Amino acid sequence: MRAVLFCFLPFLFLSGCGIFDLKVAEPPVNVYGDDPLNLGNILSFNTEIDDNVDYAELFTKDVVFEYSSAMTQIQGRDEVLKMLEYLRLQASSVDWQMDKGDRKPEGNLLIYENVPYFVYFEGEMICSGNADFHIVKNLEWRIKYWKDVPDDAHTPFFIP
Amino acid sequence: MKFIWIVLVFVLSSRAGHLPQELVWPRQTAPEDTCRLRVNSEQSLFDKTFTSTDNLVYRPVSGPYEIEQGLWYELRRDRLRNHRHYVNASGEVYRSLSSLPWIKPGFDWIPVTQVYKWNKGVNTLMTLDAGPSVIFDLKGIPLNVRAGLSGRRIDSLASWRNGDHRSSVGAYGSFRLGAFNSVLPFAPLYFQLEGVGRSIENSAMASISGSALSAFTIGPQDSVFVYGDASLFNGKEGYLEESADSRSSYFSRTPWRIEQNLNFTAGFKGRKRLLFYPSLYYSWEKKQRVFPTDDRKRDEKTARHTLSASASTDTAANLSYRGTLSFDWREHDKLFKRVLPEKANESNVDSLKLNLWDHVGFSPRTNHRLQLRLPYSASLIYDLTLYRVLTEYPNFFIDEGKKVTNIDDNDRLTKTHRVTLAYGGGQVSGELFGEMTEYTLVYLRRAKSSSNRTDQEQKVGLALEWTPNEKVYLSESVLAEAKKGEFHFSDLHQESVERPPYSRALSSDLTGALLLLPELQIKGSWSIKYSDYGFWYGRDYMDAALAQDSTSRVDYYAITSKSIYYTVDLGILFQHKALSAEVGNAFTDTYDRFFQSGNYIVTNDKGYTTKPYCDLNYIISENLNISSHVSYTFVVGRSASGYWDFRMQVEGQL
Repeated sequence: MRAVLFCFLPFLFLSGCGIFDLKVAEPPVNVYGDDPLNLGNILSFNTEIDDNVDYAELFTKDVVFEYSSAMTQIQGRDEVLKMLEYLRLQASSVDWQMDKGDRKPEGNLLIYENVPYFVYFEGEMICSGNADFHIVKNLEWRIKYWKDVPDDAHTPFFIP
Repeated sequence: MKFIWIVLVFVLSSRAGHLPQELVWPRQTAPEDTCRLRVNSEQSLFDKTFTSTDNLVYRPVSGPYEIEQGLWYELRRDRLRNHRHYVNASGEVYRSLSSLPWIKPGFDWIPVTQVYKWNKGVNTLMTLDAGPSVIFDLKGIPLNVRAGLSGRRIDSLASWRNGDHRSSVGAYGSFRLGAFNSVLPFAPLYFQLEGVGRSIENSAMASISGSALSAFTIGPQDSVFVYGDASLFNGKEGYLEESADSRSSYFSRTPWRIEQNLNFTAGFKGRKRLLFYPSLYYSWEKKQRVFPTDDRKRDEKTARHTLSASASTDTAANLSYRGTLSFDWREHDKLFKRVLPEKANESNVDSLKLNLWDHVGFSPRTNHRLQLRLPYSASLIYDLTLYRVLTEYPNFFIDEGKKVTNIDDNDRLTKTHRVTLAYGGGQVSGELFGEMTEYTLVYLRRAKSSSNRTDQEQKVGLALEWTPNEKVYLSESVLAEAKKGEFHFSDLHQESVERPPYSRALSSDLTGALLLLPELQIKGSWSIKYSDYGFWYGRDYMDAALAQDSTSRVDYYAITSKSIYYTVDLGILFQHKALSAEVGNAFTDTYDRFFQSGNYIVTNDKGYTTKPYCDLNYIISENLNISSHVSYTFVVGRSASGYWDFRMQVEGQL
């Protein structure tokens, strides 16, 4: 019993020093702010995207998600609503280099190919890759097609 | 004698689970391989993907000659029927000299061929390293020196016409001093230093690396461990790379890379003090990676310090304790402390944006376990874990009068309490546990702090095993879990998909076995899992809805999807002498429903499957074993076709 007390006391002392207290956040701006993948940046090259990022507003209803992993060579598609929920819950940050991709305007369709991206998690770059986007304008610009080709053996965005 | 005693102390001391792996003393050494022929062959066919890996190592003994010839062959065929072959036939020969026992001349060769065959052609890369090598024995310290010629031939690669090829010749050299797993004869020190250089066509590289581990005693029973390693790589290498769409391959060179790694770790394991056993370690690590000709922003310098302390009491006591407290500091630097102007312009904005990803991190972690022994072979265990990760991005710049920062600064805390009541003894053993985990995510900047949330997760589980005699075995485990999120700023999450996620699951796994005859056993398992997923419509998230209709329902869990998954597996196991065979069938069904337009729509896309299978294992001799698995999965209820799963392995030595 004494031994247990001897061990617990330093822990209690250190816990009281605040090393496990989280920092206080700045008050949020009045937006959703839920865009961990920075998808708003993809469209911001074509249209004004305000800070109200609602993923359902960024994609057409018949959006196609496609991925092709160099290692597994799996190709697949998933249901749109479920995928949007999944994407929104991801906690990575993505730097999309839209200006480095190939841009091909075709009427009201804008095709981006080989857009390099870098994924950061807790500040550390965890993977990179290339993406193709088809962005279509009806009333607003929306993503109609998104193909993900991650580098090496990294998992595509669309695999939970 | 004293040295032996010191080693014994180290053996006992190094068994502390708290110290990191690099401080383990003594290092585990694989037993010397004396067999003449070692075989390993694995074949796997799954759906339309086939993989074959075959490895042979032949070591004939012939007088003063030591010969080793290997053959490694791999074949991978993917769903698109692309074939990738890999053949490596490395070998070496050394001759012992009776007049000069400290030198052993030899020769080694590493021929490698890679063939990539796809529907529009065949691409091939062949490389060969061959040259003399010498092993010196420098007063018990081995020194291996190799040098020779490198050859490379590339056939019919992308942008080449079919039949075209090019060849090139280069050179290589390498050395290795010391050995990773043997102590120096004159000091308690593991030491190894190695270097390698290669130049062929326009890809050249050089690398040097070394590591050392030592341990010594302080006082009667305290031990100190010190470890360090360093490495430097400079250059680029060529390889056969698959294209991004997996439809072709081409010869590529890694970008020019300069990489340095440094690591220093020191640990202390003490004798019993004030009734507890202490241990402590400190680790410092530095990594720097530079790509001088690559613009993919991958240059980075990182530094990490770790300090960790642990204490435990005697586990034989009725009440025992084990705990650890550790701190981790990290620093990531993308531009190597380059001084940049605060104001952005066209020429510097890329660098300023990259500089925003510099960050510092702080991660304290602690875990504690209290164990109380109870009567009747039972024990009560309490575990507490706290883990915090703080990441901050200090850099910023001014663009058109606006301050631009990285908005990802975040602070996360995971707190877990777990209580376990364990019982083990006699015919029945079991465990009842409850666990609560709280995960809090705080984004510090205003641009993302609306996403701040706390997730609460609860789990309750029961696992029981019953073995009344040698013929009967029965086990059951039940797990119930629930997870609910809560946003810190609920007024900013009033839209339906923005409300907190909520999920629940209940699962049960029952397995049993009955020995009917000495050679015949019936086995079975039954698993079922119910899970649902949705959103929490708490009052705090319904302000907008209540403003429109004050009678709106609040404080409820809206389930968007429900799923029931179950599987039944029945089999018969037959064992006779060296043969073991199991045949059976696994039936699996999934029943999914999604909420849509006011109803739960059944989306039984996955249908159900039934999978007859057969597992065979045959021990050919004491050192040679063959095992295989074959099954076919019939998919019923959707258009998808079934698929084969075949695996076979032959492993052993002659």
